[in-house]
Amino acid sequence: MQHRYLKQVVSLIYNSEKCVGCGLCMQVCPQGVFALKDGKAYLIDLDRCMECGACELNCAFAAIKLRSGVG
Amino acid sequence: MPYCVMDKDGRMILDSQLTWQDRLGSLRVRFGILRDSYKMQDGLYALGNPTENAPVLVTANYKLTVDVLRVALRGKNLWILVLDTKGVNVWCAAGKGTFSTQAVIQAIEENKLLEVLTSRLIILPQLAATGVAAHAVQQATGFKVIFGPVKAADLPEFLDNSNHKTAGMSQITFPLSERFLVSLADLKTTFKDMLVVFGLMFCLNMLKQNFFQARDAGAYFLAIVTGGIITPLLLPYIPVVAFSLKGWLLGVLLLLGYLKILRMDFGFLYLAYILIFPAISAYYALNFTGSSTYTSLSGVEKETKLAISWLILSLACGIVVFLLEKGVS
Repeated sequence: MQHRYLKQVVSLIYNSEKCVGCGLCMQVCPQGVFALKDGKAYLIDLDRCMECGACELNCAFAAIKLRSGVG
Repeated sequence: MPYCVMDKDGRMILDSQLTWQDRLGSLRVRFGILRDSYKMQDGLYALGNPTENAPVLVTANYKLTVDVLRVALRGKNLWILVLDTKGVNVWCAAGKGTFSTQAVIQAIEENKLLEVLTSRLIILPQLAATGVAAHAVQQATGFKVIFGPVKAADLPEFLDNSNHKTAGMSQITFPLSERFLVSLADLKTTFKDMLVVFGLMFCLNMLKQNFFQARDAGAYFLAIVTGGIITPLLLPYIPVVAFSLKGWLLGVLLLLGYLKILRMDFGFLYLAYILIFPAISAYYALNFTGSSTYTSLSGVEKETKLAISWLILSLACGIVVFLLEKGVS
């Protein structure tokens, strides 16, 4: 059974203009927040984000910003 | 055979077979005895009989982590680069900064991987991604860096599938067994709180005989177990999202059952119980957000802000009603 937490609180901001579609955010996200479509990442389920910060750190193109921390 | 021996070339060898010493050690750590000292020597280990071109898997030097890896990779021939994370597991070490970009680069340099190996592939555990920027390691060392699955158990399939992850391999789960283990780990602090409260009850009883009765202590114990263990176990099945609300609902439900068994009639004491104990369950359930694998900091902050004032209000009203009842009778 999938766990869900509060909706519309997540601080993640994704700038698709900077995205080159490398897909690394998908690789590192433990919650399945990202998917790839037409050579770009997009947010398939933002509310599942736990703000671990893995995507921000591993985006070489600085397309993702968030306030990370252990919840 | 100990878990780590040197072979004739001076390589450190990891045996993929767990010995009874390993199993005993795991039990010891699980029960919190000498937990802090359960780390192993960092460095480059050979698992099986790897060639110079075999990939390098990086991990933390928490011995339980390495044990899980050893078992998962039985029959494989690989290099394992163990970082000095001060005996902390991968995810926590990545969050705390010991499993970092810099630490990986440094370990690659210190162990002279560029000279010792012809392989130029490093596989990091996915949960290290909160601390390690793959592109930065790649740039600094020339190694190609990829993130493997979350769970070590998925590694054989990942490796056999030319290092491709299936969708499920990236996702972290939080099954019943893990929720149970984590809730037990939290019990230490919870029981410390409990000793303080029981001590306080005892002191007050010295001042005024029978001020607190066994049923009060029982309700308190039930509230703690409800919030600290039963709520975590039933977490996804309680149909609200806020942890405090989950704990409160379950707290009310179980308390009502408890009062039914006590055959307590509705009155001041009953009301006091309803105000006090579910709030305590809610508090411990809220505490469990810190142990869960899916809550965000923003979410927890929002929930805490909302919940704490209600919980304190409920608790305070409950105590007032409780005292009134004691004064009345």
